[in-house]
Amino acid sequence: MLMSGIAAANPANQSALEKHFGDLFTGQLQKCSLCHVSDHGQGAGSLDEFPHNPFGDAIRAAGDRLIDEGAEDSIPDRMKLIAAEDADKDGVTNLVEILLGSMPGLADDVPDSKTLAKQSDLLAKYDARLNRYPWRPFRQVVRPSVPTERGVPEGSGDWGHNPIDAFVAAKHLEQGLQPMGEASAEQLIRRVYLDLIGLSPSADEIREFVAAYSHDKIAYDRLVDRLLEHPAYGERWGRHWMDVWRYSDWAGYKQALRDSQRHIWHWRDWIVESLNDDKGYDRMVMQMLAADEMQVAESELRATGYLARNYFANRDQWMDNVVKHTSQAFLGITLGCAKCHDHMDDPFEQTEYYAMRAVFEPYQVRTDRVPGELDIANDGIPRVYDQTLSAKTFVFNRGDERFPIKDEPVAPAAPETLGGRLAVSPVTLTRDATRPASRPFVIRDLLAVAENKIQASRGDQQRFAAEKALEALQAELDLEQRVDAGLAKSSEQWKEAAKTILVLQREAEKAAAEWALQQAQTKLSSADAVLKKAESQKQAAAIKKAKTAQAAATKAAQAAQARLDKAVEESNQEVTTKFSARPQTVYPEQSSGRRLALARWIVAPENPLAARVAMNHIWLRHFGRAIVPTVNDFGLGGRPPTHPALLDWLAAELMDSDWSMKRMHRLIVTSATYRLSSSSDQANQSIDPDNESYWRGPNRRMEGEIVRDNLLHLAGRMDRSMGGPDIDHNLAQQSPRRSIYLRHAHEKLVEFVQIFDGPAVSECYSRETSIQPHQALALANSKLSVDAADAIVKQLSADDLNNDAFIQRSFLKILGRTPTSDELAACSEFLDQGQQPRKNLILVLLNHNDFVTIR
Amino acid sequence: MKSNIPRRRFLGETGMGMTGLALTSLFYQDGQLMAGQSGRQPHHHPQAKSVIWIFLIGGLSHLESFDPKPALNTYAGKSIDETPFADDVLDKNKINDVLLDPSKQKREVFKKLLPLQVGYRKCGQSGLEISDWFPHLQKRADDLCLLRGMWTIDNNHGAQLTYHTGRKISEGAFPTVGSWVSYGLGTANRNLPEFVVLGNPSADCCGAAWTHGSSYLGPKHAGVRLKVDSKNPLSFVRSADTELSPEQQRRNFGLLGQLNRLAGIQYPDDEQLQARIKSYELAFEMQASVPEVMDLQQETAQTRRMYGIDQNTTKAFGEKCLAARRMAQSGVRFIQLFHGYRGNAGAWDSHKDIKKNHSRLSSEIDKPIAGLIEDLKQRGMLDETLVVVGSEFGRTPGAEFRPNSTVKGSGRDHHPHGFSVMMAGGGIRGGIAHGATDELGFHAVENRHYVTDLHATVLNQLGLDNSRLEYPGRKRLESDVGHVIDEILV
Repeated sequence: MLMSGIAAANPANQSALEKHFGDLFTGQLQKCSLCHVSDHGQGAGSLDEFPHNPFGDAIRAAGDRLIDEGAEDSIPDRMKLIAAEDADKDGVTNLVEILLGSMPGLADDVPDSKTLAKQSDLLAKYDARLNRYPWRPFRQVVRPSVPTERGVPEGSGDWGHNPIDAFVAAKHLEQGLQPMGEASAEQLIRRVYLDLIGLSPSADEIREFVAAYSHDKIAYDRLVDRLLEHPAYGERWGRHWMDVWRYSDWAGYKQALRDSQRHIWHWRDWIVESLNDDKGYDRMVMQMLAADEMQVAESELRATGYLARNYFANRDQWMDNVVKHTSQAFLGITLGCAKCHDHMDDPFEQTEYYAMRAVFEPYQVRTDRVPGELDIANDGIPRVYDQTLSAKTFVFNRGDERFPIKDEPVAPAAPETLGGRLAVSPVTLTRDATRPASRPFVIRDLLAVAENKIQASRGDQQRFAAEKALEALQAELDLEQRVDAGLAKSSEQWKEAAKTILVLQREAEKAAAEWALQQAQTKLSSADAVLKKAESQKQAAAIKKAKTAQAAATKAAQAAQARLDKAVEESNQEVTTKFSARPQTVYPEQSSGRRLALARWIVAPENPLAARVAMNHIWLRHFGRAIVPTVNDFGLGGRPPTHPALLDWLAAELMDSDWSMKRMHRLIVTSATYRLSSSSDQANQSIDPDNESYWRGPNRRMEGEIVRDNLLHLAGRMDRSMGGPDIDHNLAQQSPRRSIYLRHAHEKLVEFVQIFDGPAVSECYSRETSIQPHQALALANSKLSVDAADAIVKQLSADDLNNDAFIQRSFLKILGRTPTSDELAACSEFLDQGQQPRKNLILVLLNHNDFVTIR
Repeated sequence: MKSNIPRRRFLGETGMGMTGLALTSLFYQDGQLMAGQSGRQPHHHPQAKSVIWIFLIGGLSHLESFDPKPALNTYAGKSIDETPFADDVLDKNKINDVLLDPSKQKREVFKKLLPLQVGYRKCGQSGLEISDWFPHLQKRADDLCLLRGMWTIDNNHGAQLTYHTGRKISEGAFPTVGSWVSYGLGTANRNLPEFVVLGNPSADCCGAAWTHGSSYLGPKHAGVRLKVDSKNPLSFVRSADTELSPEQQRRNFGLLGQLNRLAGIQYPDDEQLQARIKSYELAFEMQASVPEVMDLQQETAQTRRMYGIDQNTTKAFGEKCLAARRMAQSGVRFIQLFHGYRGNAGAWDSHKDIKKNHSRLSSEIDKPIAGLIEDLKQRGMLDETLVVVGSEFGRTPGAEFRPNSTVKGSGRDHHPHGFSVMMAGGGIRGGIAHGATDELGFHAVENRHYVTDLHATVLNQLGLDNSRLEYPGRKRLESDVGHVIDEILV
């Protein structure tokens, strides 16, 4: 490193220059002597000791000039000013020298004539770079034109099927990349199966497709249609969206709630079903944020599990999570960073964080009953509702919740810079919403329970009690209905009915108390008998035990007697209207409408971010690489897109397709870009080693869930039933259910999945792919793998195959391809000796790179 | 080696130069060739064989550890403006020049000086000054080299990633120093990874897995995380098939390696495949080697005490340090230890109550690190084992005040302008301090070093010239490469 101020500026200015010129900045210029007189500033304490050369002076002066003029000072702006100047007076301008890789501040360093001949080409490239498609993520999406009318840019041959390819090809042309050919039919079917449904194709499906595709390219389109209609599509993509929407199962211990909610799996099931129904991304977002404020079927309330999941014991933390993650997941902005101060990178003011919080301020979570289950501890729908319509939001001084600035409550709003006005109007709720305990199925369930008690009664008194209780319940329900129909509580009819209910309840209670006393007395006498017997046998331990039992029975009998006394006393009292009403919570009749307004704003066509962010997520999961690499940050703190025009086009297309995700999947997977072979090429590789420009097909590792699912699937062990409560994560090695149904919560994670970079619980906007020896051990040694190998070898043995046929079949089944002759030879040799060679061969193939890789 | 590997070379590199290879020889004999970098030779004679790289997450105060500034006591409670150093210290250019992107990195300068929260003493023959929160390290002063002129470019915790890659977090992942070691040297022990990570790494905010990642060098050079838990040192370490004989498992792994290599002929530059081949070979060996190396019970009670494993405060980190020594002994090249994971910025981030916080954290690591150095020395390993202790930045001389909050002057803010790193062993001179900050501990003013100078020096000791470490198709900036700190070398 160099010294002092200069040294410090080195990485900053150097990387700014590099960023400005991109690929046009040659390595020879990566030196201090680009701007300084020498490369050796070590020991220098100031600019005097390590002076600028003429170019360094010029670029510094340009900065001063900009600042004096009050203009924005940046390296690109400075370059613009001095591009046409010739700092070192060697006859070649600063810009041309830089483009040609010679020092613009060194008169001795002049490009030779041969090099100078390249300048027009480079200047054109530089120009193109400066005139790149403008990426303006905070402005409304405008559908860009597809590079040519035919959908295929000139010069790209006939490569390409649809507009996606045109955008991709344009960049190929620009960079001189030659796209690889199409993947083999075997690879293609395996890729698209795993991509769309997360399960590999069977040997028969592969054979059938390979045969059809060789003469009929439409076979692929048909295959895609079929897969998109497969119920496993919802499970596969459900898991992806659960990453983005940060699904977590209930993480409580005993009765405590931690994060999330009990029965949150209903939300997971809603996600899977909605995707399979191709509900539309806009509808899904709206329902997750505000289904309770919309006119939707009751089953859609499961969607608000998104908000219920954000539950946190500390309300401020809860609200913070909601603002932070809603802004990241749906808008790709880090509004959470504006909690303590204005946003550092993007134009969001601190108050705008609180304005978004205000949208959520009134909401709370409750659990509504589901048919057939009266106890919400066993099952129920965690859903949100607005509890406190008057809830106020205050800015916290520097984000510290103990210091709210109470002068002025903040109104709900969306960030100004995104064009955010919210049209908030309160929503009047239905009776079912405000009085969920009066929904017909709840009443049916209550009556059924009461009727069952009659059936189950064991004595006359008990039966009598149950009958009276049912009568009382019926009378109460009847009265509720009359009240709903307008009967006033002050009316004589109401009073009369109330009295009738009270009498019935008293009768029921008296009979029940008599029955209970009878039971208690029976128990007491048998306890007496046991004690007597024990005493006669003089067994100290038995006596002690019997005495305790007898004491307890005595106490119970006394309590039963007291209950009866009370019941008798009550029934002798004057009949009033104060019957004991069944417990039912009545919720506010209005909702603030704030969340609905926000939801509408998010998915409105004017919103610049929702569709871009959604398509970026979808693209990432098809290609293993997002167009905007920072999927949750489209702001300046994030990283710029590789294909801005393509992303804008996809966003426009999504909106114009009624937000149908299936249509977008179809468009993507039928593109030539998606179908490219994933094999490599030296020339392309040297231009674009990271395949940022998609000159070859995606090459990804299965996610942990998909590794596990396919071990079950190939073994024919998978239980394909869908939905239902989360399965204990400790059963992951035994359970035949798909991984999406296994518990995923704080400290309750499936280890096998986590080893393969499984999602974190708190957030996981995109997954990493590591390759670690732990993965090798999990796949080689786990019960899941060993059981799969056992099952597969049994399946294949049914057909009495010779070794070669066995190898062929195993390859096709597990790796989706046929073995080469070398592979066949190696496996043959392996089968000739050793312990359980066939089973072990299967185990080896399950550990093969081609098994976990989606090529 | 991403690009342009002709087929024959791939076969050679991954150990499949011939066909019909006897299964048993698959990766035992020609393993040297398989380790990705095909037995790459160091650039020059190495001083050190292994590096134990200790990272304190959140930002260690240089002022309360390795860089005493009595002026802070003299001017305690006064503003920097009231000191004779005001002009130099508060020079805006000087402050902004360090930062990569000053316009985005707004951070208030807290001027009211906080006195030193702990005393210092001159230690050992060298008289090196070390704070009293590190009584055990004080005893090892003559083995220590203190770099007091470090600086970095980010005043927020993204600097954790910068410390390991030299790049700002917004630029994304770049190869870390450990991954360059792996790339440059390959492995010295085929039974263990060459680059191991112990402890919880930085959180998502601050680089997470990127802080031990390998970026474009390919996944096979990324750090391998291991847990220090003798009861369960490695998940899935035994096959669920209880009847599987070790011999058959060996055959299985042998066939697998052979098949993966055959598949690789079609994908000669597939980094994932190469990494997976290596990970399986390693995994096979790790089934035996990891439980062995993590079995700290093999050490004498006296050794364990040296690391503080017998005490609750020091147990957790002591075990990591001892495990690190055992791994260095087994030939692991780069052992990266994290201390202070707290799910966000990190435990060392002491915006308030720095005295309470730092004194507690120091007591967790002081004895283990001192014990490590002592143990290495006793075993004659210190000369060939380089120990480095640092954090993403230092902490401000001024006390941090935030109105209407609990940050009321008992702590220090982030400080990228000057901070300290401690080194020991591995051919680094002991008992010296190199570089200095100004009188207030604000700017690094003498022998200033950016974090990549540390990388260059570490690599140099291992026999690698950072400026010659290249990866086809990737440009490295001068600031990525850094300069070896010659003055501190033996």
